[in-house]
Amino acid sequence: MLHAVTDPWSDPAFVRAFADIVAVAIVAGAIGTLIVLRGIGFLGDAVAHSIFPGVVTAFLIDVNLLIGALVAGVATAAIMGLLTANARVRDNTAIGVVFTAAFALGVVILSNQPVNVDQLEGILFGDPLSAQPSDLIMTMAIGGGVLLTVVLLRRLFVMAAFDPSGARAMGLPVVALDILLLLVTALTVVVAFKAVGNILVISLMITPAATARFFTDRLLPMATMAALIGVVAGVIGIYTGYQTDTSVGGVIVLATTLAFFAAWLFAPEHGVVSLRMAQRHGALLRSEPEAVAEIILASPEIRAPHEG
Amino acid sequence: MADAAAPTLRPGDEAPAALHARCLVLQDVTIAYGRHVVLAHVDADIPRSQIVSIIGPNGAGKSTLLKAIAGLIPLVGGDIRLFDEPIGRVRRRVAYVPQREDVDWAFPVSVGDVVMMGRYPRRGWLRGSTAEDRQIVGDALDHLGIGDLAGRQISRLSGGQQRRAFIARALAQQPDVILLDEPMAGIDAETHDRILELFDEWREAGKVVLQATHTHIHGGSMIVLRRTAEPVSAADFEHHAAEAGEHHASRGH
Repeated sequence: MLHAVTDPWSDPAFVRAFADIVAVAIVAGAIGTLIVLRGIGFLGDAVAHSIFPGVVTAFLIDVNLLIGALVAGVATAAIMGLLTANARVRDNTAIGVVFTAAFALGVVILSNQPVNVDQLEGILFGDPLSAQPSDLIMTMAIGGGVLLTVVLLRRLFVMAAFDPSGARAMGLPVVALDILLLLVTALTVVVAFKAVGNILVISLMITPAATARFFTDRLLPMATMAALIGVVAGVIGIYTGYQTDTSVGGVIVLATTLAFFAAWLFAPEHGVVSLRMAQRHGALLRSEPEAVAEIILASPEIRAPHEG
Repeated sequence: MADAAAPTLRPGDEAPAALHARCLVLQDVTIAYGRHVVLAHVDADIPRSQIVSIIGPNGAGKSTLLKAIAGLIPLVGGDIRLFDEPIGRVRRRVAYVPQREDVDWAFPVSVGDVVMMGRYPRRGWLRGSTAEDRQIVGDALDHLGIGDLAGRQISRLSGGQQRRAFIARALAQQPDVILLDEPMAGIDAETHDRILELFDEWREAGKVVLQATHTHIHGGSMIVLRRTAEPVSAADFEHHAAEAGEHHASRGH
């Protein structure tokens, strides 16, 4: 059993994949937190999917896929930003139109080309065990830049997400910040691309952050926990993938989704089941919480129960 | 509409020129959402030391006018100047307290954090907070009577406390102009009274204060808006004129 844990470490491909996934999970957790709080998960999803044609083109002209993803990601983030900045922010219809179109473009580009199914799978669902040292360097460089940007500007992102109109009234460039957030989302998608692929990447950003939201009302714990959930899911995915040749990206996403539903049910304060249990078994009565309100005065017409 | 409103200082008096001088001036302001014009050719010279209530039925453009002054809606025509400068260039001197519905109250942020946001434009967007900032934030919280709630999450406050937190943020911004969108909606009596006291303080400090509201503040001035498509009934106009009559403010029609 111990061998199953330690053996893979003698394989450089496993070590690279491991480092890649951990780095990706941390960056995705941080960005995902901002995306969830700004309420633009669907927009992030759109950016992620729109990277597909860039990747396919890079694949066909034999350029590093990450470069294709980078070009497409930045371009889409800019287009999305401008589209949504124009009066109807978060217009989901427009977003749906653009990202489906981008995906269709990728499919059309790909359709007349002889492609081997494994490679296509890698594009769609990730293939971290095939990561090259150059992939890893690019992940670390871009991921580091993204993380640094977010950490430096965190207060501004938070302010824009919390109270956009108040922030704009104070002169904060909210639209520019939104475009920047989409841009770092695109970069995170690029970074996460090798690990979980084009389709699954968004769930590594949004699901851990949404899961963490069940447990905390504070920003830093939320981002930290999101990153941790991603890392744990990543480790599960990579071991499973290495030992059983299952899709690593698929397992990672299923693991984060499992965490999400577990949190939805059992999170101590906000979980559905925990809430029910606390109410049903009288735990709330026994714990005698500081009462928020009580009746101190009532009109004579309001009588106590059982009174004559 | 050209001279729809001219707020005045005391019942029956024109505001002294000094209070008007280079203050908040709206000139021929036209505001539209997309192609839909909401307010057209609005002129108003708003003096300091006045609590100006913007009154009118729903959809008459009360919030819209405030948002235009706050820079949230671009003007289709005309301009708004503050102290003789385009208002866009002196944003930090304008504090805006949004309507309750415009804010995500479940957001994971503490009351102290919210009030500290008022300091960002003053100290530069990327600078960390200084001891002076923390002092000002603490004072603002105390002034609103919520000093003990600084560490509390905003989601755990009552509606009245949340409103106070936002007004504390406006205080921390140390503005010359304070814009409040329905500040009295859905709050407790104590918060209501506290806001009225603040109005007096702001008036004495020479601030420009505008609030979109349904209730006229006693001793304040008012701007009455109406929907162009719906003529104001004689009874309604009489009612407004009677309210404003104590200081001859409305010269609407």
